Amino acid sequence: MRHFPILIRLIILALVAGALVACGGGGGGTAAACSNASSNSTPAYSTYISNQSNAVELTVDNGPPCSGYNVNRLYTSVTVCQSGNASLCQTIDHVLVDTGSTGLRLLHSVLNPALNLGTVTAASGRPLLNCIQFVDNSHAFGRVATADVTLGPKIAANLPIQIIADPAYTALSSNCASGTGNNTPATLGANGILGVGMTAQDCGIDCTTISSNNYYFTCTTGTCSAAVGTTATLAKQITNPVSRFATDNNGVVIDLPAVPSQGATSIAGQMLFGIGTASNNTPIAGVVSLTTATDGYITTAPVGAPTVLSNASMGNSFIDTGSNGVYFDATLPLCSSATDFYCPASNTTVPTTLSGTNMSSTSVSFVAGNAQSLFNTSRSVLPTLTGPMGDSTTFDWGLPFFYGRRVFIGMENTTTSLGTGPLYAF
Amino acid sequence: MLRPLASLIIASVLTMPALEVYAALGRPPSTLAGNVSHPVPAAVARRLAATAPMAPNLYTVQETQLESRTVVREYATPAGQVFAVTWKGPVLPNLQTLLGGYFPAFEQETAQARQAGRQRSRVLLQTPALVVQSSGRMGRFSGHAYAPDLVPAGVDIQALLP
Repeated sequence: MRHFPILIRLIILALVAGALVACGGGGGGTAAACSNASSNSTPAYSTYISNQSNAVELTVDNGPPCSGYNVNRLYTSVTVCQSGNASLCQTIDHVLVDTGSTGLRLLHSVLNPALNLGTVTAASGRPLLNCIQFVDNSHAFGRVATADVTLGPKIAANLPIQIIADPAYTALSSNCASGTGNNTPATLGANGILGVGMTAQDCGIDCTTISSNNYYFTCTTGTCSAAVGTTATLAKQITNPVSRFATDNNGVVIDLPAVPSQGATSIAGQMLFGIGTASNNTPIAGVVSLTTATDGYITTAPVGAPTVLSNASMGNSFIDTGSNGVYFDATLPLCSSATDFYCPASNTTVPTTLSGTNMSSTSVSFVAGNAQSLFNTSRSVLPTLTGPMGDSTTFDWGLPFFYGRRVFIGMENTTTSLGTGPLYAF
Repeated sequence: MLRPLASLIIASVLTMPALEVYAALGRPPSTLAGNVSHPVPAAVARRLAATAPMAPNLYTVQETQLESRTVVREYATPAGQVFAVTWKGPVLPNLQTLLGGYFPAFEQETAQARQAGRQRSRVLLQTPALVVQSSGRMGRFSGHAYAPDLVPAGVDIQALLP
């Protein structure tokens, strides 16, 4: 039972059957792809080396079966076991790898009920519930549970994780946000989210003292008919599994192959755990480290004149595998149909400089392609996908930034060979 | 360039109910400083600042920090109608409350984006009636919304927003 069982697959198929009808806008998501769940099994490239002590394979492909047209989503497989019971485990494929969030979140619908993961309780003694919001006002809501989590060869024992959309608590999700829930593989574009960002907990110190924190809730009745905000100790908060590894626990390296500008159906790469803790995660000469404040922001600035960039210095910039494009304000033409993406007539090279709070800086040149042409290929790996930000202070370096790079992401308050985190280096 | 936020006057620090401390786009702003008369419950948000109408009486700004530490700014006409809101902080404010009657248009836009495979992607809605921008990551949200039809003549909306 290392994959979710046939019954669960059937449930997923049933759940997303309706959603497929509506998935025309992105230019892909055909019924043919849906009926052929194994079409993602042969990535075009691979840099993953098996049998390393600190690595797990990554893929970018069209996502779980029947989850629509997924673009620039980075996935891995995660094995969860009932805490302390290595014989009761399940491996979940297509879990989104997100360096912009923290902690493991798995859909209730893909978990085998036999796992029976124990629920973490709040100070009240009643179940602790967790909310994560997304910028489109959607959310994921559900109970906090503990599991022994395995990523490749590394184990985070007794780790607090979120079980998204457990039906026992879904009615309470309006406490979390006013929008829709990411409750199925179709809406999530994944079977879960693996947050390996710069922090150890999803909320941190604020949630230990503020009850109206909007991350943590608890039931007010024995039947959990209502919920209220609650504090949560750091030990009970949704926790970055990397921070709980016995070794190689100060950050991650995202290592993905270069992709031709016209895109690819799928790619494979690897995530290495630790920075400077083993030969395979030790930065080579020339890697530049950009440290940040606790907010994780760096500064992006255009190079040369004229530039297509609209703003001179964007101090709220960040690098994030969970963003599926590169977003910035520019004079590039918008697409006629997908108006929140750029559609230059030809590939446009944009030179920039990125700098950290340590006054270190490095040059990054990237290519903006025609988003509509990219969507028309129905490919899932689109390295030149760009769009406007609508914010003069922000440059969002999403997953396309990672193609063809080894990117080091150091966790806050950890010491690495590249400096004290939080930091980005490449 | 007009940078009105630099001239915000700290009028007072008041305690406010944690919920519904801000008003919806197109409606009157939340209760202004000096008008707070209802009892203050245990859960509170802080009113950070409010201004007299910005010269020459084009609009007022009210800044509120929610208990979650997210800061919401409301820009209102002298007649008391909110025409723009901004937010920045660790959690999203309740956008249904903040956008009011404009929320369905926002919901429609984000639903279409999700169906096109752009789940959880940054929002950039630009229509004649409503502009909404929402971006960030877990714990680092920022965004703004305004109704172009409600922006007072003479106000440079772009200069007000991040």
